[in-house]
Amino acid sequence: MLRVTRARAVLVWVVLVLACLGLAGNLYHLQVQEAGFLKARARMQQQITFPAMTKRRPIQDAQGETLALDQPVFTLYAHPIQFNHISRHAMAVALAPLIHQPVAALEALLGTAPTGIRVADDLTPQVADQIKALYQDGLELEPHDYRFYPQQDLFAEVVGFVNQAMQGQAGVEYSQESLIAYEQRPFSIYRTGEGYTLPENLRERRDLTLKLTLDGRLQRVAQTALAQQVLKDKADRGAAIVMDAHTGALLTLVTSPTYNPNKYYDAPYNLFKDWAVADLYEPGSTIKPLNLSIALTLGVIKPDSIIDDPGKIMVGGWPIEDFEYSTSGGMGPISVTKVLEYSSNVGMARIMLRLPPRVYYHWLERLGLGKPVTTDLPFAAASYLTDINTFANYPIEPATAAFGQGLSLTPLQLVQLHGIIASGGLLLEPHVVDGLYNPDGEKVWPLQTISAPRIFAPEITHQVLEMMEAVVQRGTGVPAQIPGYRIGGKTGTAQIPDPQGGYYHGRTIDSFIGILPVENPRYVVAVVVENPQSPDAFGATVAAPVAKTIMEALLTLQAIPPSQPIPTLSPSP
Amino acid sequence: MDLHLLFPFTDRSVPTWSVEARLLRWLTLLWVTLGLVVLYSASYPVAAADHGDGLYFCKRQILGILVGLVVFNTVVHTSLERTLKISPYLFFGCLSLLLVTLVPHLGTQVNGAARWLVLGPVEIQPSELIKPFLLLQGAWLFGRWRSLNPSAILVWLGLFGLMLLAILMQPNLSNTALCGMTLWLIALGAGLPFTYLGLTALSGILVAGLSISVRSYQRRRVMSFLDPFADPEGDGYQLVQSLLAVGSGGLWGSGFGLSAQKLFYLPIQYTDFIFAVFAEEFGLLGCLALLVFLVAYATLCLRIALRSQQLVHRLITLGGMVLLVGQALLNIGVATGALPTTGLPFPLFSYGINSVVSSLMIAGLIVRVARESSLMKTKAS
Repeated sequence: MLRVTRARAVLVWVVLVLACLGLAGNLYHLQVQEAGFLKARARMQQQITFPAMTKRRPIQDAQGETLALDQPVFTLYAHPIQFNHISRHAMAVALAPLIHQPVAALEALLGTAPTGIRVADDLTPQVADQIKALYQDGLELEPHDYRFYPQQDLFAEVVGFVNQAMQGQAGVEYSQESLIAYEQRPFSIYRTGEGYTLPENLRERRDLTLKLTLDGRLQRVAQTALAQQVLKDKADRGAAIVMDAHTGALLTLVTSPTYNPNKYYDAPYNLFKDWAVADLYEPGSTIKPLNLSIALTLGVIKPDSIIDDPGKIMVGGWPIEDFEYSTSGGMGPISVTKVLEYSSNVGMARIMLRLPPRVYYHWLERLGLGKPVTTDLPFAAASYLTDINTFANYPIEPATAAFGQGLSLTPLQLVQLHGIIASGGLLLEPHVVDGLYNPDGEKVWPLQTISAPRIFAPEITHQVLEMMEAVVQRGTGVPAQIPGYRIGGKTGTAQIPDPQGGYYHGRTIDSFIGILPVENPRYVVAVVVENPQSPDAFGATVAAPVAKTIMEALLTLQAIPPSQPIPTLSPSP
Repeated sequence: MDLHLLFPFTDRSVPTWSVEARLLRWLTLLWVTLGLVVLYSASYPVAAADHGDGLYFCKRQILGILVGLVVFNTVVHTSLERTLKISPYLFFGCLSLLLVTLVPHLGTQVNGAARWLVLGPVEIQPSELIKPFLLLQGAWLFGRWRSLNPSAILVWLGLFGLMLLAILMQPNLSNTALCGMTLWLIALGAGLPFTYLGLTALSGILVAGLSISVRSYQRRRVMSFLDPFADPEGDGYQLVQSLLAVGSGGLWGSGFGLSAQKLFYLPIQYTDFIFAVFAEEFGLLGCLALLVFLVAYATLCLRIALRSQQLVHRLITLGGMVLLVGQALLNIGVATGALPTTGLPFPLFSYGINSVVSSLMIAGLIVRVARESSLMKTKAS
């Protein structure tokens, strides 16, 4: 009996082993042969996949205020053919309050086609959520990004804007496209069967921010002051720039008029080209401190040299006059400082004519004249300098160049040139991009700063800066005085060249350029106003007051202490 | 009584056991440990979500294991003769409880089936607890088939029939089938004529078919396993989710703890579909290793059965093998779509205190058989 049951026992075991083999075969089928299909199907329910998209990084100012950012918006499409147990009227009633459209119009719209009706654009995620919460078939929300500029027109001339295709068209949005735009790789996140998303994979999405050097607070002060002045003087346009002469970082760059990048399509297109970077003008007297620096460097004058200014001289058959020669006549022998203080054209011409013209020309080239400013703002125009042979053969060329005529540059380049004096002799790159920062606030690009070439010795620029201080203390720059602070400056009132030859009558570009504080120069402030209509429009009357307002704000924002006790008016007994 | 004998880890008699007994004991403890590890991963999310404690099911399972190990050692140290004497009473006790579950309002409904009796903090599942006693009584009946008088045989066959009917009425088709198959395989091992066995199998299949045709939910489920993707959101849902889990595992698996399907896609992932989680995390290689383990366990059982000198003992071993390894294979078959989708726990893997205690008692019985065979040999020599 037990012999029979031995065989039976083995039979029971065989049944189990056969079952095991069958299951192993089935597992091989499921986990190898069908694995791809099953896994794909499982991932379909477990993952939410985001397709590859071109995204743009947010832009912030130096204080971390957002200047530009992508916002998800939704376009609502309706497919009435898919409406489930709901009439077009009922759907219109449900949607109307969410998308702020009248019920009747909406119902009519839903009747226009069986499918693919574009109902509303640029819906916020909140509204999209409300629409989703209706749980209605036949509604489709298509997400896309919209570039939003929360500061409206305040940074338009620097930040620029993007078009409908999310491509930068102006400002940093255009010039730094490669830093701002990036391809977001397609990625998936997991969710549970209950719909909760899992944090896995999310850590890779560390968005970088493009940070600018601009100070939004100063930008606002500058924009307001400039716009008021342009309005008051019925000027064509104005620009104001503040640069940090330690680095070349621009703290402020405003133009007036400007535009709202959120509604760029309503703005005249000529505004999209920032004229402070892209348009040339004759700088006039504001170039004189640079010329003095060249002359001092080459030793043709000393700080205490005396120049005879008869008020009018003839150079190469052309007359050169001081501005007030017709009313006041010549000033006679004056110091170099006085030449600058009174903005003497004759004095400057005489100084610069002491240089061999070719040497002078090469120095102007060293300053960067004839080339565009190297900057991260787009559309920088090359400044204009006549050719070397003309400059060498016609003495009138170096003579007029001495007081800023016959050459032209952009307001930004003028700031760069005065940055040489403020920085103790370095040719800095004016720039607005600070760098890319990760969410922890660490700078990830660029990690090195470029060293600037030296143009003048620090002693030279110090001497010139003290002369510029005299301009603000006693000369044409008096309107820019701020009690307690040592400010160097130079006014400029240049005529506008007529393309037909000569200069327009009664049209001027008035500018003021300031450097402060003199004892520890750090900031260059420039204000340029084109074609003010007021009768006594000069750099001193139009540009200097704006510069003063900006400088006052700058001193406060940067917490710069006064260098002298501020004189107080004691009440008279 | 030596209290050290109550727990496997303090049992100092082990070195005196036969090799088979010791080996089976170790395989059983390995099974328990593996099961706890798999349960930890499978039950963590659902325990955290439903009970605020990811270890909720693990802790209770450990409690079940502790109780089960005491039962295991008690059985191992009790002679089978004595166990077989007590067994009928415990069988009757469990059968009575089983019948009580059918009384409306007394049995707790889970998923439309009355399977539980709740006595205070203790949840009793008579259909699980009755299994070791069914095994003992089945082995006794078929092992003494020729020496018992026909009326006793008929009475016991009637009692088995009543038990199967009671489980079927819960309704719990899968457990009915398992118990029926176990009895049938014990009878097969006992050397009963193939005509009897054939007729019984036929009638069993008929009963199962009848049960299915009466209850529409069972019929739909049985049909849906043939093509689960025909209705993946409805009747095929459970199996589709299980197949997605198994398939996602691929060759190497997603790694311990990394099943995505256990995150509330798989239903009852900590009991009936625990194998799907295992397959997803450990892949084909893990599954084959598990099958090799089960075959090894079954082979060891077979060796013990062949070495035992008494038919009843041999049948206890064979039946126990079916209840442990066979049930595990049925569970795998369900999770991989080879069998209709019915709820059957994976012994010592699935969460369930009753199931753990009952499984460990069955393992203890087999170990006892191994010990007694060698004891008799020792005596004979």
